[in-house]
Amino acid sequence: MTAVPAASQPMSVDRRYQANAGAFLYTAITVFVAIGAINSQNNLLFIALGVAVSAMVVSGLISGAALVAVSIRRDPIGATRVDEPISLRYTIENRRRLPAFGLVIAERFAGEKKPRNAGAVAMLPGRQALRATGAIAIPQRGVHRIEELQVASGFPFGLLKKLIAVESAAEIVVGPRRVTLRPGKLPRLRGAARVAQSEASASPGHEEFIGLRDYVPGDSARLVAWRPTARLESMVVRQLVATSPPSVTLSILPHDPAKPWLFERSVALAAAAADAAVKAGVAVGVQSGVPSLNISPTHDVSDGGLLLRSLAVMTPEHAATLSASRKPRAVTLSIGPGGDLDPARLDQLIEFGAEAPEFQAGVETGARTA
Amino acid sequence: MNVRAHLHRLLLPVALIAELAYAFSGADPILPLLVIPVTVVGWWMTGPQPERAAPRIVVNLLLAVICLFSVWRFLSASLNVTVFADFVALLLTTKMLDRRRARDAAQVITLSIFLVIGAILSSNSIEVGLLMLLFIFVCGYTFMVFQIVAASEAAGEVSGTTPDTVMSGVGTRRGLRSLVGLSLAIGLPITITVFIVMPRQIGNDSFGAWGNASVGSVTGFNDEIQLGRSGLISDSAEPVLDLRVTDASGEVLGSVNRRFYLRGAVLDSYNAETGRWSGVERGRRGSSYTRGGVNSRGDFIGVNQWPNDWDIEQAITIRNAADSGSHLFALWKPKQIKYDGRFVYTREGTEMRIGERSGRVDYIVRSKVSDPAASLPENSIEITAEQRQEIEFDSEPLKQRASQLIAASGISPDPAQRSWADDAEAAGLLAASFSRSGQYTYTMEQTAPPSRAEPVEWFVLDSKEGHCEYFASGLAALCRSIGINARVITGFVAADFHESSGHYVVRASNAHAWVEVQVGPELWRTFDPTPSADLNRVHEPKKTLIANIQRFFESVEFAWISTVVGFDAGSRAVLLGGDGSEDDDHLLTTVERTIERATSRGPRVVFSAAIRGVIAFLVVVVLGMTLVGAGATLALAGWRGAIATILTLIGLRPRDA
Repeated sequence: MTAVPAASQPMSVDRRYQANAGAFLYTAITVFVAIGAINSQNNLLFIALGVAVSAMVVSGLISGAALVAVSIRRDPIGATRVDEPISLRYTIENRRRLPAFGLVIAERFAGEKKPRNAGAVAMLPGRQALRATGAIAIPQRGVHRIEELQVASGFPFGLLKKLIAVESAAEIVVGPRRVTLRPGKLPRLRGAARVAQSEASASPGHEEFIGLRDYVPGDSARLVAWRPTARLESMVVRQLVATSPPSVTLSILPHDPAKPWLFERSVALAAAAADAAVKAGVAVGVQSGVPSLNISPTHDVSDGGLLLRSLAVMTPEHAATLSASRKPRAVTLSIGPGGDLDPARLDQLIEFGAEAPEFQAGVETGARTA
Repeated sequence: MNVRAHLHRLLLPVALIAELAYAFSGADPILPLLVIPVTVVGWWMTGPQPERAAPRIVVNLLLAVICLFSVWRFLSASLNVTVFADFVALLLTTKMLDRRRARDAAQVITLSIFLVIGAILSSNSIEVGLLMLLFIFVCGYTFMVFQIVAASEAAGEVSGTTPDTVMSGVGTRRGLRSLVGLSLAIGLPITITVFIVMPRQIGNDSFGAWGNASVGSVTGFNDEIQLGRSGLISDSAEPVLDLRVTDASGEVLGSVNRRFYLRGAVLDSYNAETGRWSGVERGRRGSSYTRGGVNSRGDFIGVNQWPNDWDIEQAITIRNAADSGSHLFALWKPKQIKYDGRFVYTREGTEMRIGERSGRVDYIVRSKVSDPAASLPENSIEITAEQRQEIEFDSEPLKQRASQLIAASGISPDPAQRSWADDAEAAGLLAASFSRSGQYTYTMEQTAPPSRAEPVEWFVLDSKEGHCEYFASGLAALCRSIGINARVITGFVAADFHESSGHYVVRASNAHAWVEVQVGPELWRTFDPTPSADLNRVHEPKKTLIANIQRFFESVEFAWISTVVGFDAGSRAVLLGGDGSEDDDHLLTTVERTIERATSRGPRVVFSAAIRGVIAFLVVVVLGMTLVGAGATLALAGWRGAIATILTLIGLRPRDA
């Protein structure tokens, strides 16, 4: 799975000034100095007032002039896990002679007013371009859509912040929190190996059709089910289960909607189980009630892969649909209350490390979709 | 350049300059001695490793103690600039122990700014002024570096890491230098414009008497004389007053050999039981400050009869009037005064005092100093019995002594037998008796008279040793004992003339007492009974190398006081091409006069200040933006670009060209 930069969209640039609390404090001090100067005719206060006024003008002018010819581009974005910083790379260019200082690069996500700071540049020399790296850590699973890329500078005195905002849409897929299962917690992997061995001996190379699902980039063309595609006017592919290689299907059981954190734990456990399975040479698939989220067994459990994208966007409603629709076939690893991996027994299943306190305390919120 | 380390290095000078300004502003010396070393130690402690910062609990406890201490001081001593500055100094010192992040650096910079403001509210001395100018430069540069560090921290806060590209700052120093240069090029003209354009001679302490800073030491002037006490007279060379004397044509008067007597208090009431001379406020004659004035237009106000009959002008700066009601020192006989504020004066202008203002006080007095004795009336005008009783000094031994002294010159001790001219001559004889006879010795270390001895009699007849207060008291007592009206005057002798600046520096040690004797109706002549050799010895400027260096510094200081600190509406008018007179007609004067007329019937001062302030601000913004626009266009686009922009603006070049 790969984040999709919206490179084809036209980029519009918006330039604006923003006053902050410091600016109001500064203005208050300036007014205080002005009153003091007029009241007492203290000439040093008049000088201080002159400096205060000139600092306002200089601040607005230099920060504005410094950014007037600055442009920025973002490289395509990868995928990440909850609370793990994702590396962002930018090309930032200054076409004027005046250098720009103290540039803060920020990304504004859909539905959010306040942008998230991603990186900073100490100095951008005049008539030069440089590569800058940034990072953003996202505390919520899901597909996060970036709407705007911003560069701001309060330089030289921080009284006025000049900001340029570039319309630069992109998505970041944030997979489940990374946790590690304790050894010996997945006995069904051995069962999957046994099943595979017996099926392989009975009908070598056989693949069993288990249903249809939406097409996702990367699917082989031979899997396209042309008739249903024509009927539905949306491309769908046949979903096959290879019976010969050892595989396991992850199935997240229904959860109590009042306890969303249990579902978050289950999704994290599912991702951990997928990691463990692939390490054990067992392919992993995902089974849900939504065709687009069903994943054929695969060994690709990378952050950008289809499997983790499926887990990234899965919600408790998807699991409930699965439960009502059909029973999974082959070797299935059930995750959820009363399942093979029960999130209520999290402390027995994983080693807690540097995970967020919200995760450990069980107050984490659910996934977010773009 | 490591930007974070650079910011750390800059914070020390920022805090130290602010604390030095605070120390030079007349703060209690104990606090600067405390805060400056602690600041240095705190800066060293909280260096590159933030874990060396003082524990949070210690910092918070210190802050709580400082706040409680300051609240207690506010309640017990009322809120004033000194208490405010002490409070900020202590906060700043504590914050130096608690620097962990860019936000803490911002707090240090902000507190330093407040401390400098507190310092300039207290003092406008050259030391504070130069430190302020240095602070503006260093603080502005530090703020720029701070913005870079703050940007990096803002980016690092979210990701939990600080990207490598942020702090490397390759070429940052050179780039910052060019930005500082550009900021100065833009900011300096705006600062100067604001300084010149902002209205003067308004305000007049509308929001209370604060912010009127001093430019030196307190005068320490005492308007009473208490005889009969032992002790040493102060010989402090600390300047307390600056005097520039000109004649009616504006020619500077003064030389190293010429002295001027600046009158302060008039002491015409003597209490023999306590040995105290006191002034008109508490005197038996019941005179009081019945006349007052407030001068918001910068005009001269007459304080005497025929106010236009003057021949000498004195521009005086009291560097630090200790409290409200300070004397306005002047040469006898004052005719007009120009003072921007409220003041009171007695009939005939014998005494003038300022109202409700302390700190630096500037004023100009025009006096008639030509000797009145040249036109003394021949015929005596009777002094009434009541007046006679008022002036009489009831001492038979002194009367005998005075009678002997004048009888030798054929002048009758009987007032009824004397003319005004005889009185003047008699006073001269009595004054000369203190130095001519050689029997009297001037001393700065006074011994107390025996118990029950009347101090003046004891000095004149027995000990014959004393300082100027005894000599003045002795002459006044001798005059009064034979019916000649005399009063003791205290003030300063201006004797230290600086030729380079054409002004006198008056020091604390120049405090002096002398006598004025009535030599005609409303005519008083100055007599100084202190032996002139001793007077010269005490007041003559020292000629040592250190004294010469000090005099050079004082000349520079006077230039600072007269040009920067003393810049007023008149100076502004002259600077803008006028002559500073009432009739001067330039744009600002016209605007101010219009506003003055418009607001003359209301709460004038406040409205006037507000309206002028707004207009001045708008003028500054328009002028500033025009200058800034031109400067920025030039800086960004070069000469060709600037010309192209101008051509585009005036329509001689298409916009898309």
